[in-house]
Amino acid sequence: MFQYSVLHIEDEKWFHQQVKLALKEVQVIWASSIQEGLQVLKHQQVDLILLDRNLSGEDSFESIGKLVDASPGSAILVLSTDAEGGSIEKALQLGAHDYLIKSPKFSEELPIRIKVAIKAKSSDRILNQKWLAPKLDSEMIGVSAHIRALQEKVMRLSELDINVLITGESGTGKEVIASEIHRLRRDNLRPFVALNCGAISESVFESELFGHVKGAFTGASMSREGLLVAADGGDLFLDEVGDLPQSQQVKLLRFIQDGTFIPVGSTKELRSKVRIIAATNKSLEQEVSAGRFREDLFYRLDVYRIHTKALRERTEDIGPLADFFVQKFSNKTAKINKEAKKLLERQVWKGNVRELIAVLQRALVESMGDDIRASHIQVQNIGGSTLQGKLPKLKGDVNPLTFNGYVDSAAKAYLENALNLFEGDTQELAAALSLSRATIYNKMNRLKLRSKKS
Amino acid sequence: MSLDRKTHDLKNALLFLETFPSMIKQLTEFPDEGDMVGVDELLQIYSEKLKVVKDGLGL
Repeated sequence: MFQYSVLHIEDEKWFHQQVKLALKEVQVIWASSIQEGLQVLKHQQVDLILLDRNLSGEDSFESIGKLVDASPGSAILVLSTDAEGGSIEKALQLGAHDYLIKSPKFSEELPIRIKVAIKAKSSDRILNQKWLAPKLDSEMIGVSAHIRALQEKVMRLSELDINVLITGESGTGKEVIASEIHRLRRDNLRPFVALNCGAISESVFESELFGHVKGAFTGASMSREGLLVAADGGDLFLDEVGDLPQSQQVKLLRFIQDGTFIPVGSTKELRSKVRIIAATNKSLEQEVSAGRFREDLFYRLDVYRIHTKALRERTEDIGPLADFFVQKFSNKTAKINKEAKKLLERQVWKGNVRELIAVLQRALVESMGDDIRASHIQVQNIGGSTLQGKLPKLKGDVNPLTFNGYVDSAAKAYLENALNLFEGDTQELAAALSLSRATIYNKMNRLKLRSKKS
Repeated sequence: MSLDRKTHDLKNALLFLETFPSMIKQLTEFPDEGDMVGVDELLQIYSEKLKVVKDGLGL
């Protein structure tokens, strides 16, 4: 597996060969001209561009700007036979990160200079706010301060080899965050392997994680490498880590402590280097207090904590999320209108983004793939969840002696509050309560209620 | 600060000649590397670079 990727723009093949031999642990792509290099950058992201100063007699300094524009995330290192006439200063001014003179011994220096240039570029990226914006296909969508802070944390964590614990309610996007931490790293050719600790049995977990040898247990007809081998050099995402049985917690702890493990049925110790990104919707502190989760493992996993807020605590993100998912699921053919978004913002979203996605998918079916309006939104228990905690308790004007009197008073208070919440919009209210508008008007007349809007 | 092509080519040729022995050695150490520049090609480049050096030094 390669540490970095480098685009080498060089017109002399024999010299490219020297570079390739000097960079054994680096993926080196060769381009014999600036044009060829620009073509490569259209399809592939590289950590560094190694640029020959003289390409077929042309001064490649003139093309540094084009390379910076084509690949703003790449460091640029210029290689030349000399450094006369302020060449180094000029190269740095134009956007290069370093300048190295070709010599018979340059191959010893090259790997170190490449590493330093990539690190320098990486620091620039962290400081440059433009790079903190999520990529277009990222699902970390939102405008709230919480999402912006998360995006920044994710960017910073992506470059660090420390274990991360992601906490938050189900459906808040913990797996999305884990994959973003992995994806945004500059050398994202590293593997990303995910395992849901809550979805598999205790015995299968061990075999999945550590692997097994042929005959280790009934049905083990052949040896199989575990996920720790697959994730070596990359990231292992352990979802629902709070559900991990104690017998497996101790094995995971042993691996985290010394990086070694033994496949099921084997006597041979294997080694793997992975960053662990764990996620849970449980309070691991409470699990530790209750004796269900090992304290030593908790501290090993909880090196850096990210908490994902529930959707109801950041309602300003619902609109952008709805726009994103409607576009995604309709292949950019449909939109969602303002009224529909307002309706979504009034929800409690106990299932968080996962529930929002399901509601939007249903709405797209209802709209037959056209733009989504409020009437297409079918939210489970919207009356209960929208008004939950907001309805007043029935007061003394209720006639407790008759059932109908009580029901009418309760219905009146309910409708009054519902009308206020929907700002008197009986169409939206009818859609939300799964009643016809005629029924709403009949009840309003009977209970002597008036809509502010009408 | 413009690039002096003749000087560059001369320095480049000298670098090749200086590196040539180790490149021949590499070819014997890594004979199976598919995209290596072969002996014939290296010898051809050698004569080209030798000419550049001779011309450059007025020999």
